[in-house]
Amino acid sequence: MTSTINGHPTYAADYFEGDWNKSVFLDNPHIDNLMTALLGLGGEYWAMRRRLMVVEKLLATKCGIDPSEIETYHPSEDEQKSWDRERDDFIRRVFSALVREVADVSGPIDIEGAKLRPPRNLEDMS
Amino acid sequence: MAGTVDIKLDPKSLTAADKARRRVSFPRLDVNSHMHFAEGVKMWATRRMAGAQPSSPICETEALTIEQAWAATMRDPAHAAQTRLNWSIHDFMWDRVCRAFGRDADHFLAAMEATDNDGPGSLELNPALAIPDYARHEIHRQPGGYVGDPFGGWVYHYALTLAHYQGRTPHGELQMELANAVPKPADGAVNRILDIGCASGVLTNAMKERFPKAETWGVDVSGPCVRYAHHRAAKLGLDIHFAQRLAEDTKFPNGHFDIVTDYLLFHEVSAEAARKIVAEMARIIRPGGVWCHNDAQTTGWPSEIHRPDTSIQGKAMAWNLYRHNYEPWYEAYKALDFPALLRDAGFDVDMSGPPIFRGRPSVNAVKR
Ligand SMILES: C[S@@+](CC[C@H](N)C(=O)[O-])C[C@H]1O[C@@H](n2cnc3c(N)ncnc32)[C@H](O)[C@@H]1O
Repeated sequence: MTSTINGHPTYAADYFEGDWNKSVFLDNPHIDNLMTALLGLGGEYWAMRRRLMVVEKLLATKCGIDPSEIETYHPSEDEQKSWDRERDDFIRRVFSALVREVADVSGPIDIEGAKLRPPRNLEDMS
Repeated sequence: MAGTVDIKLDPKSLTAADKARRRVSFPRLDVNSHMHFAEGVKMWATRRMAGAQPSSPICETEALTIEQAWAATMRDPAHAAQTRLNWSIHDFMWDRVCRAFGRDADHFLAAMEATDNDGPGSLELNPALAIPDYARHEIHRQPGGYVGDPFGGWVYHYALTLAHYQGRTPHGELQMELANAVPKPADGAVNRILDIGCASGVLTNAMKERFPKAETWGVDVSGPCVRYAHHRAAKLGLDIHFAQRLAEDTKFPNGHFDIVTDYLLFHEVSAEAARKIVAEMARIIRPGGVWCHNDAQTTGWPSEIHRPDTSIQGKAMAWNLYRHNYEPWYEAYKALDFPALLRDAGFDVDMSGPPIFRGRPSVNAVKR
């Protein structure tokens, strides 16, 4: 007998549950969880922004808006490219913090050891 | 055979209509946005990792096991954070995709029911199939694995296409390249083709498009996978037979196939099953027939194409893939001398084709 959902057969079978979702990579599991939640939040926020982009686009070009039009909206190739850029920018903005390089900053300021760098370019600012 | 039709596929110049036909997209905007997000984070993390890898070994690692190398690299907090980020976004991808199919389960089940008994092509489901234990795991952290989730086929196809492959194959381009690189038997006859471990059937479809006159089969141990594969192929108008069967026990007659393909099957089966599958292929491929295998490199590959990364990062990455991408069979697969297995089973083996993905060519084996 195959399993069912709401009376529909699914043809799914028994499987072995893995422990892959139990792993801890940081010093405290709560920090792992915070990072996961923060990513989830990022996803929600990104979804909201995309939805707004769609709505704004449609509002700009039409009057009466059919919601199904919003659900099935597909960006043009150029638009997709600009969405990709927006997304990458957003990701860098929010999540660079998580992979910040750290160093031992105990003791006084190391004036002699300070590194001279060229003026900041646009990449440094993104 | 003179009648063999062989159409070179052109993944680089798909028309807008081709793309629209092949595009996968959820009927809900937010889920598409979540995938867009996951794809972006994965691309960003991959670029950062590439930049961070020293190109030469940073210390003598001969003596380190891959687990010890992993433990050593994880002492670096930046590496640990990067690892956390990678697995969190990977799980985000699977989770949101699974939720999306769960939320609209009736819709997707009805869609499959509408095509189960419809052509072109056919679907053979076998709820009584004795699924081997090794195939019931949640490989690559996919919830429920291939066999345990009612939407296993959809989940695999949508997550990989929309996020994991990072834009590499939005319309099946990668599988078209794989199909293009399959050599024809020397006598030119291609009447029957089989794709083993076909999952969502993307490569099976590409093979049918390249050889439209050939009788084409896809087999997979997973019911949800072959069911989705048939649904999608039928929607694309491709006449393909999908069957829930084992690659080690395909039920086909001896010497039946002119071409067999597999893509990413072998690193996901036990070494024992791998040996049985090789024997089964030797049985069902005709003399002069071609078996085109594409998966990670193993022992026995020529050193010009395969130099195992013995740096501490390389070893740590191997552990990360095995343990945390949850690939129980990966290490045992890499330890097999796969080319020797093929030769011993009666194939002449050639690996001189073009690299298709991640620098690796297909292994083309011709049945003696
Ligand atoms: C990585 S996926 C294959 C991807 C697919 N070839 C493509 O082009 O996208 C591996 C597939 O092998 C199937 N599989 C694992 N063991 C099998 C076996 N013994 N016989 C048939 N299929 C098997 C799994 O169910 C899964 O769908």
